[in-house]
Amino acid sequence: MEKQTFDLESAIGGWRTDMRRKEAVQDGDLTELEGYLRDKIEDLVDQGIGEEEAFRRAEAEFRAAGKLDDDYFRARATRRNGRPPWRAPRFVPALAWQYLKVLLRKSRRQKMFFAINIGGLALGLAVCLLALLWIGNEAGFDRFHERLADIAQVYGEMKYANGERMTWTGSFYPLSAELKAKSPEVLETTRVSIVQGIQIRNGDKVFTDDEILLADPSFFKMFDFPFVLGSPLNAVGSNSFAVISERMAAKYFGTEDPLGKTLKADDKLDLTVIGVMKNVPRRSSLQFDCVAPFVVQFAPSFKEPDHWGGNPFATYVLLRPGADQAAAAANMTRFLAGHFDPSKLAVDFRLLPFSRKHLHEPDAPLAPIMRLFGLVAALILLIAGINYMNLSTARGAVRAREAGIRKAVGGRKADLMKQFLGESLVYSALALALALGLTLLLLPVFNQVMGSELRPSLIANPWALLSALGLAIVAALAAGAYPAFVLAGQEPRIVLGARSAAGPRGLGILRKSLIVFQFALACILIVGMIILDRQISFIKNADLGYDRHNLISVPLSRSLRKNFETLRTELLRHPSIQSVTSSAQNPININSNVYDVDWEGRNPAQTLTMNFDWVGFDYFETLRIPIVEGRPFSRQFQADLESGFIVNETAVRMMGLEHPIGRRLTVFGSEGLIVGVAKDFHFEPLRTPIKPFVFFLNPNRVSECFVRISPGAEGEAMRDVKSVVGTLASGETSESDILFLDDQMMRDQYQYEERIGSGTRMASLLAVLIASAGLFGLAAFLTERRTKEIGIRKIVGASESRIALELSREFAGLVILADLLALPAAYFLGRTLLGGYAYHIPLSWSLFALAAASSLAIAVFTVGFLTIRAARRNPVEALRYE
Amino acid sequence: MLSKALVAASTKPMILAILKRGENYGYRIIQSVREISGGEVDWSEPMLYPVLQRLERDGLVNSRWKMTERGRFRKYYRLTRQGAEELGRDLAQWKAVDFAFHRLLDPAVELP
Repeated sequence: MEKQTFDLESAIGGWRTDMRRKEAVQDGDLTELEGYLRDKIEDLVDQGIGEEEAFRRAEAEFRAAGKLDDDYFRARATRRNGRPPWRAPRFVPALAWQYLKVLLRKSRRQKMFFAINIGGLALGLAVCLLALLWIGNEAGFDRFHERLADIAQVYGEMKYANGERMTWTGSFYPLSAELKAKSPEVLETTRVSIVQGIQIRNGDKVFTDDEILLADPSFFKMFDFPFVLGSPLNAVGSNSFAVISERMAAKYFGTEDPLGKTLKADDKLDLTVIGVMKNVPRRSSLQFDCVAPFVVQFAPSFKEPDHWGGNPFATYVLLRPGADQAAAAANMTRFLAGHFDPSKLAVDFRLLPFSRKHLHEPDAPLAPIMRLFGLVAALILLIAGINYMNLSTARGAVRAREAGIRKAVGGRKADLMKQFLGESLVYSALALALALGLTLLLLPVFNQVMGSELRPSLIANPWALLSALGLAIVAALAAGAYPAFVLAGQEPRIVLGARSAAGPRGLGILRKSLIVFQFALACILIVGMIILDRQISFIKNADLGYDRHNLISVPLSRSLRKNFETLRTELLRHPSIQSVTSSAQNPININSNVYDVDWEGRNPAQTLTMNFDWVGFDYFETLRIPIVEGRPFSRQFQADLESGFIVNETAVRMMGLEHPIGRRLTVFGSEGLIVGVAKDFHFEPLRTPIKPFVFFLNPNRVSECFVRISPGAEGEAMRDVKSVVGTLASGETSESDILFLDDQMMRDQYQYEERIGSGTRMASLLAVLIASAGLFGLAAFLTERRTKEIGIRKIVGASESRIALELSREFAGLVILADLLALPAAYFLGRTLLGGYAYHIPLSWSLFALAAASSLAIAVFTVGFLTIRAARRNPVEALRYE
Repeated sequence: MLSKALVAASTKPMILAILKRGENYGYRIIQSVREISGGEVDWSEPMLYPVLQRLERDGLVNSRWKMTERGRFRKYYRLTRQGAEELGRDLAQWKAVDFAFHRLLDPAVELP
C-alpha cells in the first residue's frame, strides 16, 4: 500500500471539525484558535521541523480542550463558577437513590455473602472495641491523685551472698522514717499495708469483711481520698484513728453521725472515727474501706520493731516535683547500705512510680497481657478485614459488567468511585452498628473471662467510638478500593469484554496471599491456645509433691486459732474427715524466707537462703508430703516444739549433708536438730524451681487449717466443715473463704494463666470462625462461578469425588502453605509462653501438627461441604443456570 | 516555572501590560511573555484565549479583526481606558508585594 502523504490543510480541517463539537467554542473563537494553530505550525516549520510533526505538536496543546471549552463558557457566563449545561451535575438525587436500590438488591440476592461480610467485620470490630475498652480502663487507674507523678513505691532488688537475686516488693519498718530524714529528694513518706479478716465491731454490728488499710497519717498528704466529714489533721499523732468510707459508715452507723464514735478491732483495740471519706474509686489500685494507723499492729505497746528485716507491706514516698527518680533510688541504695550485712545481703533500692503500679507491678505485671490482647484483637480485626476485602473484591470483579454499562451510558470515573466507596462505607457503617451491639452483648462474657469490671456505659466514651469509627472507615476504604479504583478506571470495552465480565475464575494472587496470611494467623493462635490449654491442665494435674486434691483449707479466725484443738476434735468426729492440721501459710504459695541459716559443718564461705513455714502437728500426714528420712513432727516428742526442724531434700543437698538426721541447724538464731527430711514439693507456682525449705513446729503461729477428706465425699465434707466452723466461730469466718485447695490454687496462683488461657481460647476460636467464614464465602462464590464448568465436566464423565477434590484442592493447598509459614512464628510463640515456667510441658512437634491438622480440617470441612454440594448437582440444572 | 496559583494571579496584569505597549494578537502575546520572562512564564497556550475573552467582556480590552497579507484573519486586542486603570491598580499591588520582599531580604532592615 502506498504511504499516505500528510496534508496539512485536511489535518487542520479535521481539527476544526473536532473543535466545532465543543459547546462553548463559537465560530469567532474557532477562527482565532485556528490562527494560533497556524502561527504555531509556521514557527515550528521555520525552526526546521517537518510539517506533520509541527501539526502534531501544535495540536497537542488542544488535548485538554474540554477544559478550554469550560473556560470559554465561564469567560462568558454571567454567573461565576456556573456549571456548563453539558456537564453532569455533581450530585444527582435520582442516581443516589438508584445506588441505594442496587445495594439493597445485591444484598438481598446474596444474603450469605452479605451476612459473612458484615457479620465478620462486626465481630472483628467488636473484639477490637472490647480490647480497647479494657486497655483504656486498665490504663486509667489511679489518675485521680493530684501528685501522682511524684508518688513512688520503694522496693528492693535483694542480692544474696550466694548470688541469688530476688525482687522484693515488701519493705522494712524503719525505712520510711530513715528516708524522710535523710533523702533530699523525699518530701513525705508513708507505709501502707492492707489487711483483711479483722473483726470490726460497733455494738452488735460485727463484720470481718472490711479491708483495712494501715498507714501513717502522712498517707492523706500524699494520696487524694477526699473526706466528706472530719479532717485528716486529726490523724496526726493518733494511735487509734479510723477513717472510714461512706459505705462503711452506713454499714456500722446507719444514719448516725459516725464522727467521734468508736469501733472495736478484734475486740481488743478501740479505733476512733475521725473522718468519713468518699468511697474509694473503682479504678484505684489501693482498695480499702477504712484507714487505721500503721502502728495498730504493735498494740498495745505501739513499739515498732527497729530491725531491717523484710516485711510484707509497702513504703511510698512523695518526691520533690521534678526529682530524678533513678538518681533518688541510687542515692537511697547508697545511704541505706549500712543497714545490711554485706556478707549476707545487699539491697538495691528501686522506685516504682505509682502511676505505673497498676500495670507494671514487678510481681504480676498486667502490661504484657494487655499488649498480648491488643495484638490478638488487632490480628482478629485484620483477619476480618481481609475477609471483607476478599469477598468485596471478588464480588467487585463480577460487577465489572455493571461498571462497564454505567460507563457506556455516561457514568464518569468519579461517579463509579463514589458509588463503590459509598457502598463500602454503608456496609461498614452497618457493621459498626452491629459491632456496638455485639460489644454490649459480649461485655459480660468478657468481664467474666478477664475478671474485669467493664461497664456498658464505657462504650459511650468518645475515644472508643472514634477509634471504632476510624477502624470501620479504614476497613471500608480498603475493601472499596479495588472496585473503586480499578474497575472505575477501566475502559468500558475492557470491562464489558466477555472474559472479565464473567468474573474471576481463580483466586488471583492477591486473594491467595491474603488467605494464606489469614490462615497463618489463625494457625498461630491455635498453637497458642493448645499450648496454654495443655500447660494449664499440666499445672492442674501436676504432682506438686503433696496431695492437694480432697483438701479443704479454712482461714483461722482469732477464736478458732485459740480453740484449734476443739475445732480439730469436732471436725474429726465426722466420718468424711480423715485428718486435720494447720500452718502459718498456705502451701500453694510460701514466700517467707530466712537468710540467717547456720548448720553443723557449714563452709564459712557458704550462705543459704531458705523458705520456711510454721506448721502444726499432723502436717505431713494430712498434706501427704512423704518423709524420706527421719520422722515427721510428733506429739510424742515435745522437744520438737523447741528444737525440731524438718528440711526438704533440696536443703539437704545444698547444705551438703550426707546424714542430715540429728545434725544441728540454727535458724533465726535458735538452734535445733534436724529430725526429718521431707520429699521436695512445690510451694511456689510452677514458674519457679524448688528452693531449700525448713519447717518449724509451732501450733501457736498458725493461721490456716487444712482438712483431709475422704475421696468422693466432697459435698458432705464441705458441709461438715462449714457447719463446724459456723458453730464454733459464728460470723467470724466467711463461708466463701472455706475452699478446696485445688480450686483456691487455680484462683490465686494461676489466675494469670487462666485469664490468658481463656482469653486466647476465645480469641483463637473467633479468629478461626471468622477466617473460615471468609473461606466459606469465597469458596461459595467461586463454586458458583464454575457451575457451568462443573456441569460440563460431569457430562463428559468426571466423577463427583473427582470434582469435589478438584475444587477443594486449591484451598487445601493454601491452608497447608499457611500452616507451614506459621510454624516458625508458632514455635517462637510457644517458647515464649512456656519460657516463664520452670516446669512445663515439652514443646513437641505433635502440638504443631495438631494445630496444622485442625486448621486444615476446618478449611477442608468448610470448603468440602460446598464442593460436594456443587459436585452432586444435576449437570442439566448446572448448565441451565444463567 | 511559576506555580499554578501565581500564573492565575499574574495572567491578567501581564496581558494588560503587554497591550499597554500597543495593539497585539494572541499568538504574539504568548510569545512576548515567554521571551521577556526568559522562559520562566510559560502559559498553557490556548488557555489564554478564554482569558482574553473574559477581559473583553469585563471591558478591560477591546478587539477588532484584521486580515493579514496572507489572507488570514487575526483578532487584535487593545487596552481600553478602564483596562489601563485596572493595570495601574494591579501594578501598584504587585509593587507593594515586591517592595515587601525587598525589605524582607535586605539584612539591613530589622523585623519589628
